[in-house]
Amino acid sequence: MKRVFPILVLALVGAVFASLLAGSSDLTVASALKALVAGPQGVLTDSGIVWFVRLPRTLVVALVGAALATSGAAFQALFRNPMADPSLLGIASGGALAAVLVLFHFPSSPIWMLPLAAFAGCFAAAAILVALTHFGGRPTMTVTLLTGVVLSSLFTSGTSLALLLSNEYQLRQLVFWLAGGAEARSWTHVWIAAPAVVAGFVVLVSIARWLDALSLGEDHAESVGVPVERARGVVLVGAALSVGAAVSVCGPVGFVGLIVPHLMRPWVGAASRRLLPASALAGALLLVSADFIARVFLPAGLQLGVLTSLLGVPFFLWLLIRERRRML
Amino acid sequence: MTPLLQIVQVGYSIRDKNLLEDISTSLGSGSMTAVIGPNGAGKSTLLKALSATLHGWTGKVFLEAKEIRRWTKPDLARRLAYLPQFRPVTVPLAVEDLVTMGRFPHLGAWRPLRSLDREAIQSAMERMEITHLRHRDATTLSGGELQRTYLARCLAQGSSLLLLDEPLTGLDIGHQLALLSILEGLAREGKTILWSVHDLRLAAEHARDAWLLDRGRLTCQGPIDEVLGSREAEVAFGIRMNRSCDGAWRFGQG
Repeated sequence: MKRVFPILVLALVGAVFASLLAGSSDLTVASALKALVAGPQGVLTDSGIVWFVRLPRTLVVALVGAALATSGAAFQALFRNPMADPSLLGIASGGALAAVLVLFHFPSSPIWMLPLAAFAGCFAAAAILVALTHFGGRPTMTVTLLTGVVLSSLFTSGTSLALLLSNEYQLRQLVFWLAGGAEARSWTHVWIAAPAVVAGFVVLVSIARWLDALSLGEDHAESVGVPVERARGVVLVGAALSVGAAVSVCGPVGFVGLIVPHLMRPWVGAASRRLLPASALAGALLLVSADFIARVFLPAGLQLGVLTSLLGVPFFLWLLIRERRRML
Repeated sequence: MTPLLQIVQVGYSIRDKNLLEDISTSLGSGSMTAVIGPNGAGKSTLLKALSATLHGWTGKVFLEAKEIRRWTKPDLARRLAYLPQFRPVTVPLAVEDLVTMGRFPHLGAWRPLRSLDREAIQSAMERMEITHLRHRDATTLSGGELQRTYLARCLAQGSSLLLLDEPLTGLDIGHQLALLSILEGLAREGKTILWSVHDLRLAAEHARDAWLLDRGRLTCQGPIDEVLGSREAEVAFGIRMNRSCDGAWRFGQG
């Protein structure tokens, strides 16, 4: 049990390194290592490929995986629901809508504009959710959950509308972005995502105890002195930071937040102080591996978001069937 | 002596339906009082109000002479442990993790466990006889084991007042009696216990004092035998209650 973290760290380092080898020009292990050590040099050299193309891309993917898995684990505790996921409450779809609107209205905006818009969208969605659920009294968990689901479908309709109204060129761009992918991600994207992912992680881990208590139910949490409403707000902020960062650089990548905490619980237990860090590492590992597999073995252009959905849907259905059997 | 808990005109209603109405009474230190009443009389609602986990109730409740909604949540939780009505656990937390939550009001969100906290956790688990289950996944426990785990959490809080909503639920008769003797022991040590109970026979045999709730009103209170013998109890439950010469209660249809 104690070896879980070293194993995950080693596996992640391995996956990141493997991911540096794969791509349109093959690198050997030795040349990749040499390029890594040499540091960023000329663009067309091996070290250029490693430092300017593959490393930032891999880091972006790892950050996104960590962020989604952490916020998934936090949501599952908050909603006492193993099916909860960052995309459930409309936070991810809010980010997607904002990004689509920017692509739609300002097609020639600079590269950093899109991530910032997605990020702002996630935050706005979380803020709208908090405001709506606190309107007219103290929200229950069910009210929050249902409001989130409704908001999510509203944002998705908005995105569909933008797709319907866009011209052919915009449409290609939008669909590509909405499929969720890591093509051509640069250090700019890393620097946009990293601070928010780290901040979101710190926020969520800092309230690990509150999350544990909330996972027994609000009445239990309140009776051990947890300020339940504030705790819920903090979880939403932490998750909006993480998910916002993820959506902003990779588009909406689904199911990582749902799957990873489930895989980790039998290993490290459900206590958030262990589950959140383990999920972060495993989420990064899963997404870096998926990205590697997609690039090496699968047809070009199979976007990361599509792959995680293809893998995630059967897993979700299996989970649903298993949970139902357990409930009977 | 001022009472530990002073309850003044507590009321609660949802859409014109009064679930609690004008309840005023007090609870002395070291007492063990059963809350009895038919289904829907407001037992759970009253315990929720008194633990400040209900929202929108009227009236005032003073704990150590301070209104309970003016205490901060952790300060309140150090003085008052509330056991909600039994419900299965859905997340695979370890038993020890669950009992450790009782120390959260003492530790806040970050402070690491001190030896004092470990002792409180350990002795709470010993008292509820769940030490051997400490590493077990709480979702795999039997109902009785889980209820004892929840109660150990309440004990670990180290509060002087325990509000227990149906603590005997899920326990077989042996564990019910064992739990009652633990509660009686705690009361002797000076803890104040307010517990709701369905089974009138168990209440008759083990409670000293009782509050009778009938449709949201506190209609009778006092020593358990007086409460059970009252006209109000027969009205509330709609049954006849007679005490035979050996002291045992018999319940018959009204």
